Amino acid sequence: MKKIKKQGSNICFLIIVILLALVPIMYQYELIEASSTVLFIGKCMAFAIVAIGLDLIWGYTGILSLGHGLYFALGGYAMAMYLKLQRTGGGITDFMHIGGLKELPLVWKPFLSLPVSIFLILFVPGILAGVIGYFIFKNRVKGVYFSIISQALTWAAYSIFIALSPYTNGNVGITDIQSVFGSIKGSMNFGNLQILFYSALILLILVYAGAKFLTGRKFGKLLIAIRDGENRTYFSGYQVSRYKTFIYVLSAILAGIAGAIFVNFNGSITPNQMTIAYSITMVIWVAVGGRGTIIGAVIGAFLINMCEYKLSSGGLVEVWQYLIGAIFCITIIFFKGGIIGIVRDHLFASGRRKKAERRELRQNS
Amino acid sequence: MKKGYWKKGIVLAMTAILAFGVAGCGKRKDTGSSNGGGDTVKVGILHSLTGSMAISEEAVRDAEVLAINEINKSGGVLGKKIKYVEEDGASEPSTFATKAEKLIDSEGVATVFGCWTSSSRKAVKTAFEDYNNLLWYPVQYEGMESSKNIVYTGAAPNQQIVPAIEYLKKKGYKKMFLLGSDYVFPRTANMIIKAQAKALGMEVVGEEYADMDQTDFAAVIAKIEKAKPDVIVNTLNGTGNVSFFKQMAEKNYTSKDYMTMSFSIAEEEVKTIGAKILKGHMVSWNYYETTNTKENKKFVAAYKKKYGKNRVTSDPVEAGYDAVYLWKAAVEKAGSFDVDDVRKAIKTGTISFQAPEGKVTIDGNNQHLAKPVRIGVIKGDGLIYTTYETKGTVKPDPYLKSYDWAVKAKLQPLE
Repeated sequence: MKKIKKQGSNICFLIIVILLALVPIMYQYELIEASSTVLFIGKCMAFAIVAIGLDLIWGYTGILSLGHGLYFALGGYAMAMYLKLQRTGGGITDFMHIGGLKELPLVWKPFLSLPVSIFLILFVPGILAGVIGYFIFKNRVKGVYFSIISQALTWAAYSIFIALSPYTNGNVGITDIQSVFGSIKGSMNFGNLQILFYSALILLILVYAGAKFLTGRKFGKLLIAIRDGENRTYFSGYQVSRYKTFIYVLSAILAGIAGAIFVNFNGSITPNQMTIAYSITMVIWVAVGGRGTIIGAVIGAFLINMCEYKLSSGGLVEVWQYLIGAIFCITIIFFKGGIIGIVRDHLFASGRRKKAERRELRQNS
Repeated sequence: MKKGYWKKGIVLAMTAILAFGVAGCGKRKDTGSSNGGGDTVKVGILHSLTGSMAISEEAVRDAEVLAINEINKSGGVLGKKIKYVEEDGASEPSTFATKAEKLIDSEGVATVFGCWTSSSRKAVKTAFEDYNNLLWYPVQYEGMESSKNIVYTGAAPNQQIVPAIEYLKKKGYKKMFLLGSDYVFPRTANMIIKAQAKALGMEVVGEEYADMDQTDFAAVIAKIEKAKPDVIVNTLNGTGNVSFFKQMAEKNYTSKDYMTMSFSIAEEEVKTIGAKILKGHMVSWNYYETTNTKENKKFVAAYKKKYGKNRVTSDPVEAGYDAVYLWKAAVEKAGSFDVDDVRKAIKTGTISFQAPEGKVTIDGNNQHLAKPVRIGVIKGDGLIYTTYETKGTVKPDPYLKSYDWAVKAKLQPLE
């Protein structure tokens, strides 16, 4: 029992991985009837990766970023441009033509090659977050001010992407692309989808393991220390701003990776992924799942997205956003630990809870 | 103790919602089948019912549902009742993509009616092509596209923009100021207009793009005052229009000072901006609520009866209504719900419908509609009245291949 408690989140993740690994097989045995469901679960894996990144900075380090959509979209655009250029054979795209460009602009040239594109998917969000993080954290901007700055940056980037429509196709974004493994839609292309699905799953496992590795050692304890008492940590001789910058860069890179995976499944990227609203949605996944646990972020990302997928159709089509909103509000008001918190407090910690209840009774009387 | 109970209750309720959401993911509930079997045929409706586009798209959705109900009442299609499955695109292109896949693949619909914005159409295009399904797209748009898996029931540029500029020329307007929201439709429209103006000997004295949700037009109005155009060609969309026209009105400018020709203002928008402000301004569409046909009187009456007296019909609303009937006609001609068969029927170029705007026919080659063009003037009662109407229908030409000036300006996309 004790072991289960200690390894609870890893066991939980293992179950999720097994379930995910079974998804394509279930499709082949017709337990899942539509390949689009498989495709959708693939997108959820991308969301889970960005959620892990957010959990690292918010759940562990206490930095609430409301602008991770920016890094997600940067990774997405980088991937999408590579895929788009594959489709045009390296020539200029239709939107560049309409925008009056005669040849491929220099900024997009590197995206003709896959290795360079993959490098840039990691590098661009990383370096941007590095520069921003360096200045923000060095000047000890924190709390709500950081959140506001992260929003402003996202908004600025969104406006730039809209304004530079000959380069980015404005608010339509980059559409009409296939995944790196070719078309993934329909039953005849299921082979491609399967390869993509398992690649994404492997990435998710790696990201989860990496996050667990980082948080499980002294480094993780330091992040929590920064969250709970930044000044104390600072006066204990730790360069707080460096740790913060590092974790911010790392989560931005994870967001970039997630964006790239998302594009492969989604077949398009639009500036909508870069909006503040979308960034806040990501925070909601983490909050509902339970922050500061890694596994909570994964669960939150999957549950919320699957609920949206299911609820936003048929009879509930008019009210689904209220339902999701209600879940979020209730979680935040009553269950600060999110879903993981509920499980931990109500299922596994019965002994502890009874003790706490007894204490409460004593205090009340 | 009491508190503990209802906390548990909340946990239970939340678990129920979440479980319902997740459990439903795997299985397909198949009540109607798209090809053969059962006495219903399933179609999809994919519009934004939440988010910023909801107001516009719900009106189209209502028209589509109206048409489906009418068809069901009169016996259905090929003896089968139409059952529609609705998905919410939530004004978000990638949600549209996800939902299109869900409708086609999980629900197995025979066809889908939906989308409004160009970004949502472009986001779902690959899904319809890869799964080989058929989308009926009900809004006028920027052209330069012709997917074999989309039927465009709104106007192509040569059925809205090009005739409007010709009309302006005929009425003696020479200096144009191009004002639009910053996205693909205004940019492409203005690219076309500039090429056309050159050919017609008209002058473009300014070109400005506003952010989608821009509310301050002082700088734009100052530029207009400086450029002194005869007419402002307006492709602003959504809230931009409200702010722009209100700020023009604040400066006491009416259509007598600065005439505008708008491509995105229909009856619905007149209602939000205010008929008083828009009085006398011109618009270009294929259909108005006042269009004088027998079919339209019936359509407007039915729409108002079902959805309320204060609701108005407009061009996209009517195009959505037509789409359902055109699909029915194509299916009946094909004798099958299969997408390839339906497309073969469309290819004959004989699928037509006596629509509220007049008779419309699907062009077999580019899957756009041949439809009449109407230049309208907004009147004080909030309705739009036709001042000029083409004789018969205008053939759709999304790539403007039949216009020399367009060919010379190399407007066609690559590929």
